[in-house]
Amino acid sequence: VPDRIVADKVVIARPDADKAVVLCGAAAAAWVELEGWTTRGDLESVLAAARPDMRADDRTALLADALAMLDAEGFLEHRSD
Amino acid sequence: LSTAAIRATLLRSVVDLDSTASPTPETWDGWRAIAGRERMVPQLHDVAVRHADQLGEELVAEAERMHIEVAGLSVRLERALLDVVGRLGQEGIRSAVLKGIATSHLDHADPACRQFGDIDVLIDPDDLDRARTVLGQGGWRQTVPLPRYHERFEHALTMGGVGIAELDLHHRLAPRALGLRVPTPDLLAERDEFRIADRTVWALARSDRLIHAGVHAIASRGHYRKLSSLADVLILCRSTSADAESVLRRSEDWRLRPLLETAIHLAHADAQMGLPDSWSQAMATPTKRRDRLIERAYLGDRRRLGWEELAHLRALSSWSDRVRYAFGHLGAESGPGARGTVSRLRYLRARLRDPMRSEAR
Repeated sequence: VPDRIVADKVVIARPDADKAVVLCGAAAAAWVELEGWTTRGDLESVLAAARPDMRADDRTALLADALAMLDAEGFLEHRSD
Repeated sequence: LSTAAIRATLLRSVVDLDSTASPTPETWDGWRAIAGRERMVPQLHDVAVRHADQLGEELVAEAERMHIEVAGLSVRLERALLDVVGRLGQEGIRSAVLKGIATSHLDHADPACRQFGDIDVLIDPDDLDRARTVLGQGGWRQTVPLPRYHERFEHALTMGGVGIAELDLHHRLAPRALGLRVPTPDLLAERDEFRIADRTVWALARSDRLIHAGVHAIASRGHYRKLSSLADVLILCRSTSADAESVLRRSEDWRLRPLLETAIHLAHADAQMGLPDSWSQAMATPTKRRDRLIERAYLGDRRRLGWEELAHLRALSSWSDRVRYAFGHLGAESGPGARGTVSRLRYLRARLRDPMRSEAR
Protein backbone atom coordinates (compact mmCIF):
# COMPACT_ATOMS: atom_id res chain seq x y z
CA VAL A 1 0.00 0.00 0.00
CA PRO A 2 1.18 3.61 -0.54
CA ASP A 3 3.09 5.04 2.41
CA ARG A 4 4.93 8.14 3.64
CA ILE A 5 7.51 8.49 6.37
CA VAL A 6 7.11 11.65 8.46
CA ALA A 7 9.63 12.06 11.29
CA ASP A 8 9.53 8.75 13.21
CA LYS A 9 6.05 7.85 12.02
CA VAL A 10 4.78 5.98 8.98
CA VAL A 11 1.52 6.98 7.30
CA ILE A 12 -0.08 4.26 5.20
CA ALA A 13 -3.25 3.88 3.19
CA ARG A 14 -5.56 1.12 4.39
CA PRO A 15 -5.83 -1.50 1.67
CA ASP A 16 -9.56 -2.03 2.17
CA ALA A 17 -10.85 1.50 2.76
CA ASP A 18 -10.29 5.13 1.79
CA LYS A 19 -8.51 5.89 5.05
CA ALA A 20 -4.97 6.49 6.28
CA VAL A 21 -3.35 4.93 9.35
CA VAL A 22 -0.46 6.43 11.30
CA LEU A 23 2.05 3.95 12.69
CA CYS A 24 4.35 4.97 15.55
CA GLY A 25 7.19 3.34 17.49
CA ALA A 26 7.64 -0.41 17.02
CA ALA A 27 4.89 -0.62 14.39
CA ALA A 28 6.60 2.07 12.29
CA ALA A 29 9.99 0.35 12.60
CA ALA A 30 8.43 -2.99 11.66
CA TRP A 31 6.67 -1.44 8.66
CA VAL A 32 9.89 0.01 7.24
CA GLU A 33 11.52 -3.41 7.55
CA LEU A 34 8.46 -5.17 6.16
CA GLU A 35 8.67 -3.35 2.82
CA GLY A 36 10.33 -6.53 1.56
CA TRP A 37 9.80 -10.08 2.85
CA THR A 38 11.35 -10.43 6.29
CA THR A 39 11.36 -12.72 9.31
CA ARG A 40 10.35 -12.16 12.90
CA GLY A 41 14.02 -12.66 13.87
CA ASP A 42 15.12 -9.82 11.57
CA LEU A 43 12.41 -7.58 12.99
CA GLU A 44 13.58 -8.33 16.54
CA SER A 45 17.12 -7.32 15.52
CA VAL A 46 15.85 -4.03 14.05
CA LEU A 47 13.89 -3.28 17.20
CA ALA A 48 16.87 -4.18 19.38
CA ALA A 49 19.01 -1.68 17.48
CA ALA A 50 16.30 0.99 17.70
CA ARG A 51 15.50 0.44 21.40
CA PRO A 52 18.64 -0.92 23.13
CA ASP A 53 17.34 0.49 26.43
CA MET A 54 14.41 -1.96 26.48
CA ARG A 55 14.47 -5.41 28.04
CA ALA A 56 14.46 -8.23 25.49
CA ASP A 57 11.16 -9.64 26.82
CA ASP A 58 9.51 -6.25 26.56
CA ARG A 59 10.78 -5.81 23.01
CA THR A 60 9.39 -9.21 22.01
CA ALA A 61 6.02 -8.36 23.53
CA LEU A 62 5.98 -4.93 21.86
CA LEU A 63 6.80 -6.44 18.48
CA ALA A 64 4.11 -9.08 18.89
CA ASP A 65 1.55 -6.33 19.66
CA ALA A 66 2.66 -4.25 16.66
CA LEU A 67 2.51 -7.22 14.28
CA ALA A 68 -0.88 -8.25 15.64
CA MET A 69 -2.17 -4.74 15.01
CA LEU A 70 -0.79 -4.66 11.44
CA ASP A 71 -2.21 -8.12 10.79
CA ALA A 72 -5.64 -7.14 12.12
CA GLU A 73 -5.69 -4.10 9.78
CA GLY A 74 -4.89 -6.30 6.78
CA PHE A 75 -1.40 -4.92 6.20
CA LEU A 76 0.50 -8.21 6.51
CA GLU A 77 0.93 -10.96 3.99
CA HIS A 78 2.21 -14.30 5.35
CA ARG A 79 4.56 -16.68 3.61
CA SER A 80 5.27 -20.16 4.96
CA ASP A 81 8.60 -21.01 3.22
CA LEU B 1 8.56 39.59 8.62
CA SER B 2 7.51 39.77 4.97
CA THR B 3 5.46 37.27 3.00
CA ALA B 4 8.28 37.23 0.43
CA ALA B 5 10.79 36.09 3.08
CA ILE B 6 8.46 33.28 4.23
CA ARG B 7 7.87 32.15 0.64
CA ALA B 8 11.61 32.21 -0.06
CA THR B 9 12.39 30.16 3.04
CA LEU B 10 9.77 27.53 2.19
CA LEU B 11 11.01 27.29 -1.39
CA ARG B 12 14.67 27.10 -0.36
CA SER B 13 13.83 24.23 1.96
CA VAL B 14 12.93 22.18 -1.14
CA VAL B 15 16.51 22.39 -2.37
CA ASP B 16 17.98 22.17 1.13
CA LEU B 17 19.22 25.76 1.28
CA ASP B 18 19.45 27.97 4.36
CA SER B 19 16.45 29.97 5.47
CA THR B 20 16.04 33.65 4.64
CA ALA B 21 13.74 34.03 7.65
CA SER B 22 13.14 32.21 10.91
CA PRO B 23 9.72 31.38 12.33
CA THR B 24 8.96 32.50 15.86
CA PRO B 25 5.89 31.89 18.03
CA GLU B 26 4.79 35.45 17.23
CA THR B 27 4.97 34.96 13.43
CA TRP B 28 3.86 31.30 13.36
CA ASP B 29 0.27 31.99 12.28
CA GLY B 30 1.55 33.72 9.13
CA TRP B 31 3.86 30.81 8.30
CA ARG B 32 1.11 28.28 8.82
CA ALA B 33 -1.35 30.22 6.64
CA ILE B 34 1.10 30.63 3.75
CA ALA B 35 2.28 27.01 3.86
CA GLY B 36 -1.29 25.70 3.93
CA ARG B 37 -2.45 27.94 1.09
CA GLU B 38 0.60 27.24 -1.07
CA ARG B 39 0.72 23.45 -0.49
CA MET B 40 4.06 23.73 1.29
CA VAL B 41 3.22 22.05 4.61
CA PRO B 42 6.12 19.52 4.37
CA GLN B 43 8.50 22.46 4.00
CA LEU B 44 6.86 24.21 6.98
CA HIS B 45 7.59 21.11 9.04
CA ASP B 46 11.20 21.06 7.82
CA VAL B 47 11.68 24.76 8.67
CA ALA B 48 10.05 24.24 12.08
CA VAL B 49 12.46 21.41 12.90
CA ARG B 50 15.43 23.51 11.78
CA HIS B 51 14.34 26.35 14.06
CA ALA B 52 13.00 24.21 16.91
CA ASP B 53 15.05 26.12 19.52
CA GLN B 54 13.24 29.40 19.01
CA LEU B 55 9.89 27.90 18.01
CA GLY B 56 9.37 25.51 20.90
CA GLU B 57 8.26 21.87 21.05
CA GLU B 58 4.55 22.58 20.83
CA LEU B 59 4.70 24.37 17.48
CA VAL B 60 7.13 21.84 16.01
CA ALA B 61 4.65 19.12 17.03
CA GLU B 62 1.85 21.11 15.38
CA ALA B 63 3.86 21.29 12.14
CA GLU B 64 4.41 17.54 12.34
CA ARG B 65 0.68 16.94 12.83
CA MET B 66 -0.06 19.10 9.77
CA HIS B 67 2.50 17.13 7.77
CA ILE B 68 1.00 13.81 8.87
CA GLU B 69 -2.44 15.01 7.77
CA VAL B 70 -1.01 15.94 4.36
CA ALA B 71 0.72 12.55 4.13
CA GLY B 72 -2.58 10.84 4.96
CA LEU B 73 -4.27 12.57 2.04
CA SER B 74 -1.32 11.71 -0.24
CA VAL B 75 -1.49 7.98 0.44
CA ARG B 76 -5.27 7.94 0.00
CA LEU B 77 -4.93 9.69 -3.35
CA GLU B 78 -2.18 7.29 -4.41
CA ARG B 79 -4.37 4.34 -3.49
CA ALA B 80 -7.03 5.77 -5.80
CA LEU B 81 -4.40 6.46 -8.47
CA LEU B 82 -3.34 2.80 -8.48
CA ASP B 83 -6.94 1.88 -9.19
CA VAL B 84 -7.06 4.36 -12.10
CA VAL B 85 -3.78 3.36 -13.77
CA GLY B 86 -4.57 -0.32 -13.17
CA ARG B 87 -7.90 -0.02 -15.01
CA LEU B 88 -6.33 2.00 -17.84
CA GLY B 89 -3.48 -0.50 -18.14
CA GLN B 90 -5.87 -3.46 -18.33
CA GLU B 91 -7.56 -1.76 -21.27
CA GLY B 92 -4.18 -1.16 -22.95
CA ILE B 93 -4.43 2.61 -22.51
CA ARG B 94 -1.08 4.34 -22.07
CA SER B 95 -1.00 6.91 -19.29
CA ALA B 96 1.35 9.30 -17.55
CA VAL B 97 0.86 10.63 -14.03
CA LEU B 98 1.27 14.42 -13.95
CA LYS B 99 2.32 17.01 -11.39
CA GLY B 100 2.55 16.37 -7.67
CA ILE B 101 2.25 12.60 -7.45
CA ALA B 102 4.90 12.14 -10.16
CA THR B 103 7.33 14.80 -8.95
CA SER B 104 7.00 13.65 -5.32
CA HIS B 105 8.42 10.25 -6.26
CA LEU B 106 10.80 11.20 -9.06
CA ASP B 107 12.18 14.63 -8.21
CA HIS B 108 11.87 15.52 -4.55
CA ALA B 109 14.29 14.22 -1.93
CA ASP B 110 11.50 12.15 -0.39
CA PRO B 111 7.90 11.58 -1.56
CA ALA B 112 6.71 13.06 1.74
CA CYS B 113 8.25 16.42 0.70
CA ARG B 114 5.63 17.21 -1.98
CA GLN B 115 2.07 18.08 -1.06
CA PHE B 116 -0.72 17.59 -3.59
CA GLY B 117 -4.50 17.66 -3.54
CA ASP B 118 -5.72 15.63 -6.49
CA ILE B 119 -4.81 13.07 -9.14
CA ASP B 120 -3.73 14.13 -12.61
CA VAL B 121 -3.34 11.51 -15.34
CA LEU B 122 -2.63 12.13 -19.02
CA ILE B 123 -3.92 9.84 -21.77
CA ASP B 124 -4.07 10.07 -25.55
CA PRO B 125 -7.12 12.03 -26.80
CA ASP B 126 -8.05 9.03 -28.95
CA ASP B 127 -8.41 6.92 -25.77
CA LEU B 128 -10.74 9.33 -23.96
CA ASP B 129 -14.01 7.48 -24.56
CA ARG B 130 -12.54 4.07 -23.73
CA ALA B 131 -10.92 5.51 -20.60
CA ARG B 132 -14.19 7.03 -19.43
CA THR B 133 -15.95 3.71 -19.92
CA VAL B 134 -13.38 1.62 -18.09
CA LEU B 135 -13.11 4.12 -15.24
CA GLY B 136 -16.89 4.27 -15.04
CA GLN B 137 -16.88 0.53 -14.34
CA GLY B 138 -14.79 1.34 -11.27
CA GLY B 139 -17.21 3.98 -10.01
CA TRP B 140 -15.49 7.07 -11.46
CA ARG B 141 -18.00 9.64 -12.70
CA GLN B 142 -17.59 12.95 -14.47
CA THR B 143 -18.30 15.60 -11.82
CA VAL B 144 -18.04 18.77 -13.89
CA PRO B 145 -20.38 18.46 -16.87
CA LEU B 146 -19.29 20.23 -20.03
CA PRO B 147 -21.30 21.47 -23.02
CA ARG B 148 -21.77 18.63 -25.48
CA TYR B 149 -19.36 19.93 -28.08
CA HIS B 150 -16.86 21.39 -25.63
CA GLU B 151 -15.37 18.25 -24.22
CA ARG B 152 -12.71 17.73 -26.84
CA PHE B 153 -11.72 21.39 -26.62
CA GLU B 154 -11.05 21.15 -22.88
CA HIS B 155 -7.75 19.72 -21.73
CA ALA B 156 -9.17 17.48 -18.99
CA LEU B 157 -12.29 15.86 -17.58
CA THR B 158 -12.85 16.14 -13.85
CA MET B 159 -13.98 12.87 -12.27
CA GLY B 160 -14.90 11.74 -8.77
CA GLY B 161 -17.15 9.33 -6.97
CA VAL B 162 -14.42 7.10 -5.53
CA GLY B 163 -13.74 8.19 -1.94
CA ILE B 164 -12.35 11.67 -1.53
CA ALA B 165 -10.23 11.58 -4.66
CA GLU B 166 -10.69 14.03 -7.50
CA LEU B 167 -9.25 12.82 -10.78
CA ASP B 168 -8.35 15.15 -13.61
CA LEU B 169 -8.19 12.94 -16.66
CA HIS B 170 -6.09 14.98 -19.07
CA HIS B 171 -6.00 14.39 -22.78
CA ARG B 172 -3.85 17.45 -23.24
CA LEU B 173 -1.13 18.87 -21.03
CA ALA B 174 -2.51 22.35 -20.46
CA PRO B 175 -5.61 24.45 -21.12
CA ARG B 176 -6.62 25.98 -24.44
CA ALA B 177 -3.90 26.99 -26.92
CA LEU B 178 -1.15 25.82 -24.56
CA GLY B 179 -2.43 22.26 -24.69
CA LEU B 180 -2.97 22.35 -28.45
CA ARG B 181 0.68 23.34 -28.92
CA VAL B 182 1.93 20.13 -27.25
CA PRO B 183 1.08 16.87 -29.05
CA THR B 184 0.05 14.37 -26.38
CA PRO B 185 1.44 11.34 -28.31
CA ASP B 186 4.90 12.96 -28.19
CA LEU B 187 4.65 13.15 -24.40
CA LEU B 188 3.49 9.56 -24.05
CA ALA B 189 6.24 8.30 -26.34
CA GLU B 190 8.96 9.14 -23.80
CA ARG B 191 8.00 8.37 -20.23
CA ASP B 192 9.81 7.78 -16.95
CA GLU B 193 8.67 4.97 -14.69
CA PHE B 194 8.42 4.93 -10.94
CA ARG B 195 6.92 2.66 -8.34
CA ILE B 196 4.14 3.11 -5.82
CA ALA B 197 3.50 0.23 -3.45
CA ASP B 198 5.46 -2.14 -5.67
CA ARG B 199 3.44 -1.24 -8.75
CA THR B 200 4.95 0.40 -11.83
CA VAL B 201 3.47 3.76 -12.75
CA TRP B 202 4.48 6.11 -15.58
CA ALA B 203 5.21 9.82 -15.62
CA LEU B 204 6.34 12.34 -18.21
CA ALA B 205 10.04 12.37 -19.06
CA ARG B 206 12.05 14.69 -16.81
CA SER B 207 12.43 17.53 -19.32
CA ASP B 208 8.68 17.40 -20.02
CA ARG B 209 7.96 17.46 -16.28
CA LEU B 210 9.88 20.74 -16.09
CA ILE B 211 8.12 22.23 -19.12
CA HIS B 212 4.75 21.19 -17.69
CA ALA B 213 5.52 22.57 -14.22
CA GLY B 214 6.61 25.87 -15.77
CA VAL B 215 3.63 26.20 -18.10
CA HIS B 216 1.23 25.19 -15.32
CA ALA B 217 2.71 27.80 -12.96
CA ILE B 218 2.38 30.54 -15.59
CA ALA B 219 -1.11 29.56 -16.75
CA SER B 220 -2.36 29.51 -13.15
CA ARG B 221 -3.04 32.98 -11.78
CA GLY B 222 -3.78 34.49 -8.42
CA HIS B 223 -4.47 31.99 -5.65
CA TYR B 224 -4.46 29.13 -8.16
CA ARG B 225 -0.70 29.53 -8.64
CA LYS B 226 0.75 27.42 -5.82
CA LEU B 227 4.28 27.67 -4.51
CA SER B 228 4.42 23.88 -4.82
CA SER B 229 4.40 24.25 -8.64
CA LEU B 230 7.30 26.70 -8.45
CA ALA B 231 9.06 24.24 -6.12
CA ASP B 232 8.81 21.65 -8.91
CA VAL B 233 10.29 24.17 -11.36
CA LEU B 234 13.16 24.91 -8.98
CA ILE B 235 14.02 21.31 -8.27
CA LEU B 236 13.69 20.20 -11.92
CA CYS B 237 15.89 23.09 -13.07
CA ARG B 238 18.65 21.66 -10.93
CA SER B 239 18.25 18.10 -12.11
CA THR B 240 18.11 19.12 -15.80
CA SER B 241 20.83 21.75 -15.64
CA ALA B 242 23.12 19.69 -17.92
CA ASP B 243 20.30 19.52 -20.47
CA ALA B 244 19.15 23.14 -20.26
CA GLU B 245 19.67 23.78 -23.97
CA SER B 246 17.73 20.73 -25.11
CA VAL B 247 14.87 21.43 -22.69
CA LEU B 248 14.59 24.98 -24.03
CA ARG B 249 14.75 23.66 -27.59
CA ARG B 250 11.86 21.25 -26.91
CA SER B 251 9.79 24.01 -25.34
CA GLU B 252 10.60 26.23 -28.32
CA ASP B 253 9.40 23.52 -30.72
CA TRP B 254 6.05 23.90 -28.95
CA ARG B 255 6.32 27.74 -28.93
CA LEU B 256 6.25 27.69 -25.13
CA ARG B 257 9.85 28.67 -24.37
CA PRO B 258 9.02 32.23 -23.17
CA LEU B 259 6.54 30.77 -20.64
CA LEU B 260 9.08 28.26 -19.36
CA GLU B 261 11.77 30.92 -19.06
CA THR B 262 9.38 33.20 -17.18
CA ALA B 263 8.50 30.39 -14.77
CA ILE B 264 12.18 29.63 -14.15
CA HIS B 265 12.92 33.30 -13.44
CA LEU B 266 9.86 33.51 -11.19
CA ALA B 267 10.80 30.42 -9.16
CA HIS B 268 14.36 31.60 -8.58
CA ALA B 269 13.24 35.15 -7.76
CA ASP B 270 10.68 33.81 -5.27
CA ALA B 271 13.38 31.64 -3.68
CA GLN B 272 15.77 34.62 -3.69
CA MET B 273 18.30 32.54 -5.61
CA GLY B 274 20.37 33.23 -8.70
CA LEU B 275 19.83 31.21 -11.86
CA PRO B 276 22.18 28.25 -12.34
CA ASP B 277 24.95 29.15 -14.86
CA SER B 278 23.88 26.51 -17.35
CA TRP B 279 20.37 27.94 -17.48
CA SER B 280 21.61 31.55 -17.78
CA GLN B 281 23.81 30.51 -20.69
CA ALA B 282 21.08 28.52 -22.41
CA MET B 283 18.60 31.38 -22.02
CA ALA B 284 21.08 33.81 -23.58
CA THR B 285 20.40 32.30 -27.00
CA PRO B 286 17.49 34.12 -28.61
CA THR B 287 14.09 32.50 -29.08
CA LYS B 288 13.41 32.17 -32.80
CA ARG B 289 10.13 30.28 -32.95
CA ARG B 290 7.39 31.79 -30.84
CA ASP B 291 3.65 32.41 -30.66
CA ARG B 292 3.11 36.10 -29.92
CA LEU B 293 -0.60 35.59 -29.26
CA ILE B 294 0.12 33.03 -26.54
CA GLU B 295 2.72 35.33 -25.01
CA ARG B 296 0.29 38.24 -25.03
CA ALA B 297 -2.37 36.04 -23.45
CA TYR B 298 -0.29 34.45 -20.70
CA LEU B 299 2.71 36.66 -19.90
CA GLY B 300 0.97 39.87 -18.86
CA ASP B 301 0.64 41.15 -15.31
CA ARG B 302 -2.99 40.10 -15.19
CA ARG B 303 -5.18 37.53 -16.83
CA ARG B 304 -6.29 38.38 -20.37
CA LEU B 305 -9.18 36.08 -21.10
CA GLY B 306 -9.95 37.65 -24.48
CA TRP B 307 -6.42 37.01 -25.70
CA GLU B 308 -6.53 33.47 -24.32
CA GLU B 309 -9.70 32.80 -26.30
CA LEU B 310 -8.18 34.32 -29.44
CA ALA B 311 -5.02 32.25 -29.07
CA HIS B 312 -7.16 29.16 -28.55
CA LEU B 313 -9.39 29.85 -31.55
CA ARG B 314 -6.36 30.38 -33.76
CA ALA B 315 -4.70 27.18 -32.53
CA LEU B 316 -7.76 25.06 -33.38
CA SER B 317 -7.19 23.06 -36.53
CA SER B 318 -10.19 24.12 -38.64
CA TRP B 319 -12.92 26.72 -38.99
CA SER B 320 -15.59 24.15 -38.20
CA ASP B 321 -13.83 23.46 -34.88
CA ARG B 322 -13.69 27.18 -34.17
CA VAL B 323 -17.43 27.54 -34.77
CA ARG B 324 -18.21 24.44 -32.67
CA TYR B 325 -16.05 25.75 -29.84
CA ALA B 326 -17.54 29.26 -29.89
CA PHE B 327 -21.14 28.00 -29.95
CA GLY B 328 -20.35 25.21 -27.51
CA HIS B 329 -20.39 27.82 -24.75
CA LEU B 330 -24.14 27.91 -25.11
CA GLY B 331 -24.69 24.26 -26.03
CA ALA B 332 -26.43 21.56 -24.02
CA GLU B 333 -24.33 19.77 -21.43
CA SER B 334 -23.25 16.18 -21.79
CA GLY B 335 -22.64 13.56 -19.15
CA PRO B 336 -24.53 12.40 -16.10
CA GLY B 337 -24.75 15.87 -14.57
CA ALA B 338 -26.41 17.42 -17.62
CA ARG B 339 -28.87 20.13 -16.69
CA GLY B 340 -30.85 22.93 -18.25
CA THR B 341 -30.56 26.53 -19.36
CA VAL B 342 -29.77 27.92 -15.92
CA SER B 343 -26.73 25.71 -15.53
CA ARG B 344 -25.56 26.58 -19.06
CA LEU B 345 -25.67 30.24 -18.16
CA ARG B 346 -23.86 29.47 -14.91
CA TYR B 347 -21.19 27.63 -16.91
CA LEU B 348 -20.75 30.60 -19.21
CA ARG B 349 -20.65 33.04 -16.31
CA ALA B 350 -18.14 30.90 -14.40
CA ARG B 351 -15.92 30.73 -17.47
CA LEU B 352 -16.00 34.46 -17.89
CA ARG B 353 -15.64 35.39 -14.23
CA ASP B 354 -13.36 32.67 -12.89
CA PRO B 355 -12.14 30.51 -15.75
CA MET B 356 -9.22 29.18 -13.72
CA ARG B 357 -11.65 27.13 -11.66
CA SER B 358 -11.73 24.56 -14.38
CA GLU B 359 -8.24 25.08 -15.72
CA ALA B 360 -5.88 25.27 -12.75
CA ARG B 361 -6.82 21.91 -11.34
